[in-house]
Amino acid sequence: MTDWRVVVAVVAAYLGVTLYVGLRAGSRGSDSVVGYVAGDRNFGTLMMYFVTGASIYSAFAFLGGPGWTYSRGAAAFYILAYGVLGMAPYYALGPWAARVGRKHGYVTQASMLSHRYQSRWVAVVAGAVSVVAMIPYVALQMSGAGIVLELVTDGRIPRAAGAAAAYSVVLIYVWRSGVLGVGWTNVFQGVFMVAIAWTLGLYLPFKLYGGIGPMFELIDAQRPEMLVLPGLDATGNAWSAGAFSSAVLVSAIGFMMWPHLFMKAFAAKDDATIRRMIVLFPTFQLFLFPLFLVGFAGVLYASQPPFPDAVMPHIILTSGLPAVVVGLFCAGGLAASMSTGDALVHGAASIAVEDVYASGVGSQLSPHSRRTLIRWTAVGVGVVGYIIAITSGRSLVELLLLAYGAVVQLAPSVYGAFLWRRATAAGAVAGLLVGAGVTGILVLQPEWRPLGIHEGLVGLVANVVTYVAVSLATRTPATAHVDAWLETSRTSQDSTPSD
Amino acid sequence: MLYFIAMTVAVTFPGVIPFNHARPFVLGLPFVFAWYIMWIVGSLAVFLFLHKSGRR
Repeated sequence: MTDWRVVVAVVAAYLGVTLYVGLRAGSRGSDSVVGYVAGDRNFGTLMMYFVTGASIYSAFAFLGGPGWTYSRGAAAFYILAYGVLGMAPYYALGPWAARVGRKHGYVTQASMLSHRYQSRWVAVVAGAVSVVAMIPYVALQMSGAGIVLELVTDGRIPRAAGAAAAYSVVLIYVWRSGVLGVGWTNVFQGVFMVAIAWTLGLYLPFKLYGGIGPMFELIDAQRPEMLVLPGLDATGNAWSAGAFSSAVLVSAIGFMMWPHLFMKAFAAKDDATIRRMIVLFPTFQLFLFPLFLVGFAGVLYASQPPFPDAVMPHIILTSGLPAVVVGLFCAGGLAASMSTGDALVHGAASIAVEDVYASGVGSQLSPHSRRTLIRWTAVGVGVVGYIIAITSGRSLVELLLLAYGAVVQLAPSVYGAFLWRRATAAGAVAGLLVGAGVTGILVLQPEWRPLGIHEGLVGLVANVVTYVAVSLATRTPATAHVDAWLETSRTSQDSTPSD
Repeated sequence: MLYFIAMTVAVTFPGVIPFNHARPFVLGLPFVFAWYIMWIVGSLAVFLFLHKSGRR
């Protein structure tokens, strides 16, 4: 049996180093809101790469990915598909957003939309939808941290206590250092968790089955349904092709709409930095590969985990690995959770204050007061996420798919802002409200979804129809403002050719 | 961006149907698993080409 005290010692050391890195990062930035929220617009390629990559390598990937391959087989391949598809439009969109951000001083996605559409209500509604989407995502990360600690200590650290310990560290460095704390800890955590995942992902199939090929040979002989699409659903029956494909589409369209990712366009040093990050991004997507191997290794494993998301810790704990290795795995799991959770907590708090509160009530707070309010709101977001994490019975992947249903509703107003001059504020607000409303209804009444299609995709169709119809039916926004805004977005400030 | 439109078709139904089988294995992986990995590796090459050529 693994010595849990060694495991806890390794985890404590990891949390200590993370806290040190996060607190040290705070000394590098200015005391302004731009410094706290957008890192003084000075993120380089390395930081952008790890901040974005950490969004893929979250607790969702580290535990949920193996959990889905173990319990649902090829259904998990949707996760492989959507990241690259979601990132591709950002190759153009990211630099466009960065340029208008630098010119007009935006630090959030909703403040950009508000200025483009000349309406504070766009900021309020877009901000509210963003925060609603981000909280289940925060909960997912906390839940993942708690699961890892509970399992590897054989219940001595309960899920609730484990999540609280890990996220206390997160809140301390987010409070002190803002986005710089998020960025520098993501670099450290990114390197750490990628090393752990590749090591375990390649080691376990060899130890248990003699190799990757022999493992799949056995699965193909005994559980062939696990190796073809669309895989299985949560009850073990065949998943529908419509549900699989719509999961790919809604996740791809929603991927870069995540405010904590989109906002990094405002933190990037220049256009070239954003494009280099995108070029390198598929390498992070490939890091999912070893995690899927771990999940497949569990399909024919001698014993069953207590629940699918626990398959990776279950195999590690029962396959005779040394306690130090178990501790390193545990730290890798926490790194995956915390490196995404910190960006979410920071992003949700920034949006709630800058967009929902400041725009909604027209508040003119001093920069110092805004920073303080963002810090306290981060604590509030952490507490709400924590309550959902310890009370929700949903799987990690289900929680994320739920969140995608909300965040994908931002896509029409974001794309429309850059691509459709005729789009109006009324259209953007109406589209967001209708899309979010339809999605919410279908979450509560899943049997109403046509062909099992993801509720967010149905909501998105209603959103687009409403956005276009209301925009055409309402007065065109000031042409000079829209022309100047679009001109800024298309004018490159790099030495490379303009768009 | 044609690559990413083709990828969208190739990794969702019904476009993935011709490639949706476990055998033959490719480097030890089920065929459809390797199919997804191949598209990700291809995207790395496409992004590199776009970046090096200065295209937007």
